[in-house]
Amino acid sequence: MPTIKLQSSDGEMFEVDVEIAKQSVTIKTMLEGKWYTGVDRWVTPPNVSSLICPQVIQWCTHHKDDPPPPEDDENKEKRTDDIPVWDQEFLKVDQGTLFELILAANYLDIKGLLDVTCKTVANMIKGKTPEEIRKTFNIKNDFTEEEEAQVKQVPFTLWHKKK
Amino acid sequence: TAAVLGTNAVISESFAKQLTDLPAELLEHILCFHVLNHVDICKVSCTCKRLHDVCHGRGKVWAHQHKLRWPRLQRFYQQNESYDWLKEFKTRHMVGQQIRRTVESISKRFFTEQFTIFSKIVIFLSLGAPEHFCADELLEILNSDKRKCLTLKYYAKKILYFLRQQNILRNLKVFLERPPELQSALEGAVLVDQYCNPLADVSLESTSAQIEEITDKVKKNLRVKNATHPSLRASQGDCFVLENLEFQRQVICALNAVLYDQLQYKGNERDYYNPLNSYIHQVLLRRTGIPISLSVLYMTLARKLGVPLEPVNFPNHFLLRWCQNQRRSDDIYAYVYIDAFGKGKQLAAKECENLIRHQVGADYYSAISTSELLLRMVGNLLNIGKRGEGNEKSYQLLRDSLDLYLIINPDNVQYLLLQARLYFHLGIWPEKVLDILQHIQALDPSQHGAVGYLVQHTLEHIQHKRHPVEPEVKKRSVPEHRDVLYSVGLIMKHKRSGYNCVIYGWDPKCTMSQEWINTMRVHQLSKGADQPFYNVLVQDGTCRYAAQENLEPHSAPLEIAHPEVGRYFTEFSDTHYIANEELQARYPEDMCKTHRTVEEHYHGLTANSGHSPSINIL
Repeated sequence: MPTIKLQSSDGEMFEVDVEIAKQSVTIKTMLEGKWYTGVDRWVTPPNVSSLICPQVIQWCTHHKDDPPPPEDDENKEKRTDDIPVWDQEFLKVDQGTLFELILAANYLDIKGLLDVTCKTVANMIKGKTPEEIRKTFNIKNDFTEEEEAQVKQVPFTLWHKKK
Repeated sequence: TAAVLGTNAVISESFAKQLTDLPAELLEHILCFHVLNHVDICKVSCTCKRLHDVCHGRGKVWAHQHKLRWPRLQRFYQQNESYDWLKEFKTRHMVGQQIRRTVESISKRFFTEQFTIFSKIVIFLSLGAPEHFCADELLEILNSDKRKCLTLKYYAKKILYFLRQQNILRNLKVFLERPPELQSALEGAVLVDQYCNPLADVSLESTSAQIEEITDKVKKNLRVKNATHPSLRASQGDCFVLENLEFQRQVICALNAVLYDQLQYKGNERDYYNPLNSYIHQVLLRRTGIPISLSVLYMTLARKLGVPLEPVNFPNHFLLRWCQNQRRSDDIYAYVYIDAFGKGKQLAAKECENLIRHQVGADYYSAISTSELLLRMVGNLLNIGKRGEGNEKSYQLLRDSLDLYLIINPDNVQYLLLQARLYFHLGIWPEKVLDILQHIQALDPSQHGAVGYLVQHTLEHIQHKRHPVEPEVKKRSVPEHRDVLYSVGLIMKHKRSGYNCVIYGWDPKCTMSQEWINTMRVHQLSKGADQPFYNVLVQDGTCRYAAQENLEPHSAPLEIAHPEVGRYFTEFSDTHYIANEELQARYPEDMCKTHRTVEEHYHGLTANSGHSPSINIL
């Protein structure tokens, strides 16, 4: 089976089946580009470190037989109740890794991975108060007191549901 | 593709350790996931400046939330324009809350009296709430869970009905102000149809599309007989007139063949006085109608194919006339008259009189304008309304057709008086009655007799409104009520007539007049008038007053599809109806009794046996 080499941003090489690598639309496009004739095939996706690269490869390997994802139709509802169990386990990582996976999926244009990682983050935001969100993501509150009052005021009086 | 590369594609070596390090497009992508609602977005935007900017910056996040929550409103926004989506969202949200509060408050105030609440709605709207937002919220209420919130839906429906009618009325006024050449009979007929059926999905576009389909069929037929006919070359929007009479004849021939033979359109002789015959979208659906509505259809089709026909206000049987000369003429014999009701039969001038078995003068053979045509159409509906059984439906038709009549012909004293009397009789909207009466007085002071009487009584009515009487509370526990077996909300069957109904009120003894008692032969009952009588809403849309001995609890309780159900009940629960607050205030001890009765009779009835009619209102 033909393979291709991926070089991470810090110089390490990873070998992977071409078919698996083609889940990345970026790589697929590169491979099918007419200037690409080299026997020794390798690509350097930008900003994908040697730590993230194997993770991405692992995800793509597991999902190699998945049907192609449907066109990203604005009208399609994106449900978050269908993150497969394997993915859920796969994504039990620290936040830094999670965000890097998001970035990698974005650069490499791997829709399935991008969706599942973003859904995970969305789930982490759902239902939390601002303070809880800050805590979860270690966000610094950089509003001044007045600014914060202003920002909080309008939404909360309006959005208070349920009598 | 979903590539969200953006311009931040190159971030040198700073790894994303934090959520806020992600590029804006990716943050937007995350925030647009279905699981996050507007509450979450607000909370996120309070966390820090960066996230606040992402939420509010390009409007993408709020645009998404708006679309998610109210997809039906998307058509009001242009593709290429930018909007302040947060503002749109807030406005729609607030309007929704206000509408719900208003609808809920209506139930309390107007439960006992059939007032129109429309003046309140008009005030509310004049405060600047965008009308399409109001209509959207009302639609949401109407399309929610079929068996709950019945009272809310009842009033929401009335309001939506009114709102849509106001819209259509405005369109009609604009239409009537156009020069006659720009008033197509079809468009006028559609407006009439819409006004009388404001909750149905009737539009000029869809009607025109159906007309176009028929036109295509006629062209096909024409092509067989004459492949070089000039009308075949015309495209959809063209406005042309065939000069050659022979070409016109060929079109008419093809039209008759398609309309009457192929599509089987025919005049509705069997059910002539059905209002559906006057509504153009129903005519197209049922392929039947009355002379005037079929003439509108026929005339529209003929014009599209180059044959100009004119409407003729022939008494009792509307006709079209077709000029046989090159030049228009006043000579009634220069025309062929077409009976669209009678399969397009062509008649010479005096032959038309055979249709109505009556002789008429030449005046009745002249062409009329679109306004006059509409006036006649509306007049038909008015007469049907007048002949009606005096139930809600026929009163509604009478009211609607009177409104239409008076828009086209505002100073008609006879119909103004009719309108004033109608509202007076129905006991609704006394303020409007006074307005109408003032108008009549200004137009025709000789009417002061009729006007004076109505004014006096209307003023009394308004006075009475200011000091409403507390509704009577009926408790089952008092000794006079001990023989009352049944309670509100129970689904009953009439033993003799067999109809299904639900109880919404009762009296310990028959409270009707002696005349009623005699007419209804109450004395023939074994217990006569001296037994409990029940107010019931019947499956067929009527309200009746039935004796206790004639009713029994229904063996298989089902939903009663009566339009007034929502006025008294909030919910249907498999075995019975749940009274709303207002009804419970009147019958405070009834719901307990209903529950006990239901337990006794239906204990063990598990799955629901009722079927809710699917009414999707567009």
